[in-house]
Amino acid sequence: MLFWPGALPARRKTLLLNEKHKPWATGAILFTFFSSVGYGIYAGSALNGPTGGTLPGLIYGGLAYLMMFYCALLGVRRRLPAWSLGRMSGWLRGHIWIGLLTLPMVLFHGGFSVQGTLSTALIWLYGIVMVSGVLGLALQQALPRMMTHQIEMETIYEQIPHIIDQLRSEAEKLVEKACGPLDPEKRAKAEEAESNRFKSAEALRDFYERRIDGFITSERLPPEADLSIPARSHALFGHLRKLVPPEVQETVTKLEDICDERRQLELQIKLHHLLHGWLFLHTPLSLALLLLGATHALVSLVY
Amino acid sequence: MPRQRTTKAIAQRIELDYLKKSHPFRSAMFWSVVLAPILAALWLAAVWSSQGDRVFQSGPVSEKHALFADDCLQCHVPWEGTPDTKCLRCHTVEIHQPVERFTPSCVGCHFEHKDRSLLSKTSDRHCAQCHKDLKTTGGASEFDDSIVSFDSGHPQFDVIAENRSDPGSLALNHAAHMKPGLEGKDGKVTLRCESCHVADSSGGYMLPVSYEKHCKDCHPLELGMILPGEVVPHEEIQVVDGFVRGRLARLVAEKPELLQQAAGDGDGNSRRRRRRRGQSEPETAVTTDAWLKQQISGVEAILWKKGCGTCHDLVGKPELPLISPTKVPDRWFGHAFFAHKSHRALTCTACHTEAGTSKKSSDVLLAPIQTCLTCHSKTGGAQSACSQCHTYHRRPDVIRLEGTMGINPLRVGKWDEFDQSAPAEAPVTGP
Repeated sequence: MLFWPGALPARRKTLLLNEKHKPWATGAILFTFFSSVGYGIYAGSALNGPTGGTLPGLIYGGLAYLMMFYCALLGVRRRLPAWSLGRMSGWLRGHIWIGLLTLPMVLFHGGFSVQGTLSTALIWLYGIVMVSGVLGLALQQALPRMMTHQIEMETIYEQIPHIIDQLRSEAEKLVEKACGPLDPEKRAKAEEAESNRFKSAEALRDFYERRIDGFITSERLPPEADLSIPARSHALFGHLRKLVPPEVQETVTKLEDICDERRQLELQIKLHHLLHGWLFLHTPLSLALLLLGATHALVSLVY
Repeated sequence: MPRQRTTKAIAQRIELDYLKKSHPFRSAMFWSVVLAPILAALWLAAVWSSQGDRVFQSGPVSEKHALFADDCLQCHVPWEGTPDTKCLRCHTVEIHQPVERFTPSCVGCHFEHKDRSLLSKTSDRHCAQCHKDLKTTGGASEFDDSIVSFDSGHPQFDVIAENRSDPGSLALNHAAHMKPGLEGKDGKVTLRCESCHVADSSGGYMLPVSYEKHCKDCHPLELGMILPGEVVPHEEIQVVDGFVRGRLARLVAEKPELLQQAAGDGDGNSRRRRRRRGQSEPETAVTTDAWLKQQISGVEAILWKKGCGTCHDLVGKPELPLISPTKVPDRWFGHAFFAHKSHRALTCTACHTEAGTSKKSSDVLLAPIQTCLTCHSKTGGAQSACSQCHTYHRRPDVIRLEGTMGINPLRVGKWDEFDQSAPAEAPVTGP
């Protein structure tokens, strides 16, 4: 059980690193082993020590660049989903393992030493790309399960604002049904007609206007807001139930559910940012790395 | 209890065309992907404009070449690397050995862009690539053929391995000179090594011992009773002979009675003997020439034997011998150099262990390789690179540019103008 010892087979399938990675991992280990042996022989015999300018150094550097280039093609593959270029999961496995293999190649290329402005910039970029990639891999391994467990009302991330609008509309309709129109002018007219009916649910309207409406529609939930904290929210709604007549109790429950969904959406936003935020470093810097790496390779080969 | 929704209910809430609309997350990713390479290119352009070609270098140019670090083409040729001809535009060097089987390129040993250190500091591996299994184009080599490093395969120093004697003809007893309380000019003295052995201005080698500076005080060349107080110069023997003749001639001119005394065999014992035998004193004085001849012969016989001959080998006619060349070696290592200055923390006898006890001038007091290896080895800690003691090129590097360029042409690399006046040449073959 190379990746998740003790994990159940059914759960393992949902993980990013599962048993399908075994061939890749084995290949990567073997490749690292043989290239390390090759490096040892080369470093031991190189008169001026191992450097990127020697033939073996250039081979290691060239391999590293080709591997990085392959890894970058994952982004292209994603934009061409209809093309028959192999399964996306296969590309992703290649991206992960070939990406990791660039590490020994880069170290062997420079002989475990970095000097010079461009080379130093390249190694920093490479370091950030690698660290962000490994971090992303770890997050991708853990967070999706967390989201499945904690966000039952999970939706498409980009649809969250749209869903929030719907939640607000749904909540408004519920409140208007119980308390009459929320618009003051319309409410005044309605109260004239059915004053007794709406008077009894005034506490609900007040609660909605003071707490729920702003809570649902706010762009980011303030963490210290009462409704942001499940226990406090539950207590507030419990108190509200005592203030409203029995015929409105179901409405209160539905509003509480809406607030709960809003909290879940907020959690989804946070987890999504965590799950994909590393890409803002990984992807752009990968392209910068490829560009500067190509310049480095070209200048080195010319001179 | 959270409300439950069916997949259908959830799907119905989704805008089907959401992918066609922009979203801050996607927009941010798009722009970061577009901007990152652009910013990287702008950064490179900015650094290139400020640092010049240095930005592309894999490391700093060595100290001696730092002036040309801004321009790769000073040393590199596109798609060719760094050919020797680029180095030979400035440097004139000889190949290592005429019979060598392999001549490395300049950059094969003098590796640039590593650090600021001197390019001449090469590793033992460069030497060992030939010397660990030395083959020549001209038959057997005069050198050991399996030298890997100073502490691996390096032979004993020739002069010790072959048990050679000091070829110097000067007689010197080190032990006698190192005794405490010797009679000196101003009383008792105890000599130290540095009383006679003084390093040259570089601190590398000892200067030859000088009679005037180091011997004269204790060993003045006095003429003795006939010319008390007169000290003979430490010069060629003809000069000494002239000096003695001149002094005696002046003496007899000042004291003509010496001729009379000589006629009577001025020696007091002789006169007493004559009186005892009843013989009379001679009537007439000897001539000046005869007196001088007699005195010069006597004085010089003693001088040659007791003066010059104490230290020097005298050959030829006894009356006017020749002094053999001293042949004191100024260097003992024919193929290496040494720096006493670097070893100044040590006492002299730490390495020259027999310097205090040697009685014969033929003794070689050089330290054997084992003494050096005590420190100059992997376990000893001190540097033991081949280049510490040996040079690869048979004569010192000569800069061909000497006195040919102005400041700006040199800085911007106006080599072509220089090349027209002095075209690059192939390495000169050593003698």
